[in-house]
Amino acid sequence: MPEPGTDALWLVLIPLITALVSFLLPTRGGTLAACAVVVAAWPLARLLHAVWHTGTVSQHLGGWQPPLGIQVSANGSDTFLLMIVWLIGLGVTIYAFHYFRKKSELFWPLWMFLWAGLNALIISDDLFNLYVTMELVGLAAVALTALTGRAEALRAAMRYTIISLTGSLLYLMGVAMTYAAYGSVDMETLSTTIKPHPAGYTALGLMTVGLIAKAALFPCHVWLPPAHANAPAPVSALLSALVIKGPFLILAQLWLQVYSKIVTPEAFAVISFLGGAAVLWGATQAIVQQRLKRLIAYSTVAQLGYLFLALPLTASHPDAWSGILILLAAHALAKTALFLAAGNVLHAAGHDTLAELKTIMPRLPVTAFAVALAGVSIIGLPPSGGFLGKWLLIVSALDRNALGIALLLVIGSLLAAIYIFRIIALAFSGEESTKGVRFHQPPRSMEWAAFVLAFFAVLLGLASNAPLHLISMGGRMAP
Amino acid sequence: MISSEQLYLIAAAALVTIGFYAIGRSPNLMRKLLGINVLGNGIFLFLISVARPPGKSDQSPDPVPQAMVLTGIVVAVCATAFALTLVDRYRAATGRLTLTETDDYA
Repeated sequence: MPEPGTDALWLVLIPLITALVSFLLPTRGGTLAACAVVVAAWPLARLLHAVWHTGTVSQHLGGWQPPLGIQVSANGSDTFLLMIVWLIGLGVTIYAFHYFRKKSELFWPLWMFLWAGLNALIISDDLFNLYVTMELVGLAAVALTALTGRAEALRAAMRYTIISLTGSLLYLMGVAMTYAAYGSVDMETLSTTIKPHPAGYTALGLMTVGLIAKAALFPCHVWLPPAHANAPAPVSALLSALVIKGPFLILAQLWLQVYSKIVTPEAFAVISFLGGAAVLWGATQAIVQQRLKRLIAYSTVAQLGYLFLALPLTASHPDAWSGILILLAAHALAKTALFLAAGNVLHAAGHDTLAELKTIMPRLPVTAFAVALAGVSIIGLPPSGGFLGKWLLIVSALDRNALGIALLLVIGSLLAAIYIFRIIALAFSGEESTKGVRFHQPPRSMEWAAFVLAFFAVLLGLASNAPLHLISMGGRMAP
Repeated sequence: MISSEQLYLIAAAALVTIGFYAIGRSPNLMRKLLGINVLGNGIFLFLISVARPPGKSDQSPDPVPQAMVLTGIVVAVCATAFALTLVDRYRAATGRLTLTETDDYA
């Protein structure tokens, strides 16, 4: 009987091996990836079982103990995130199977590398290992951005590369300073040994700036809309839903766990302010966009802002972390659905200019319904996952007299309602003259993949007991 | 008189500064990429110099930062190779080696 910690490692190894094999069998990439997603369900189920009953499972790689060895562990929050990544991976793989039929075979190994990196990032407990996983995710993400090879995609990928590599090196510099000052990079060891020290503040500052740049928090978000809007639909979905959440999770772990003893309320106020600015700026930009994918990309800037906006609450209120994770998961599911739906619109119409989609949307009822469901969660209307996350955060904010945060959560919802209704209105415009308008029916699997993910975003709010219980297992912190 | 450890630290700080300057100020993508590499090497040098803290030069150095540097070099090589390919493709597609300020989304 293998140890439960091994199951977490299989979730890294299965996509990693698949990625390497699909370089050797380029025409079988889609089949291999589909197999990998199905096979990975088994260790994931075993891990869920173990975490549900024991709280946290951990493993020392090669039997080496920290500080020399590398520890990986999964608690309830980690397992919840691994499951969300798996679910989105399943949807995107089904969608991409048709989308990339007979073209862009490189999508499959890159997507498998990305998945391996994300899973490794979630289970890593070591600052340096997090750097390596972040680079794996970053390089795969940039390569996926450049997949179409068009000039504008290459430009977006180029800008993304510079930001991503510089951000990672800022983070690495912080790791080096942490090691110099405290003699360890193991998060558990550090959280007990860190004392106020100038090197500690510098290290945390450097890592925070690097991670903010990579997570595209306002005002470092300018690279995000072109990168996410120019990529193929399944790639945009992965980037917006999952990739930018990685740096956020590391940052949350640093602020709330590793460095919690030296983080001041003023620092929390600054990051919360940036999050609030991102909510307002991202949403107002989304409202004025003329193209569908751009609108959805700016919506990501806003939705990411919520996570940073609410970060100070987690330090004092037990429900806030659950709220953030639920909101993160609901956004990931809904945003994947929106980008996949946008891909269907592009497939059908050949463009995504909002004003000219009036004749297209009514002919894609499943896609339109997916947009509506995902929109319910993005806005935060009951009974969706987006509503549950925001509700938990607003209650925590009111409990702690943080009226500004509560107010911004509500204003963000109102602004989101405006840009979501801009899309949904297209489906009910009722214009009949479809003569001479290009229309290609997207494959059924592409329409339903978007729909099912949007459905799960809503389901997260309806069946919330199990996820909330899982998140609370094994300590509320530590992604 | 400065010790060799201090010399390492000063050199590391200089490399980091030069790297940041190149990334921030140069519009040329190749220079930005070189800047990223210089910055990375500055960090590696810093890690190597903390492996043997000042005043403990008689002890054997700490292997953990050295292992990190080895891993870091592998990551840096891969990232640089990838970024160079991307620069090449970008130049082939646009005929430019700089990023335009206006964001022309087609």
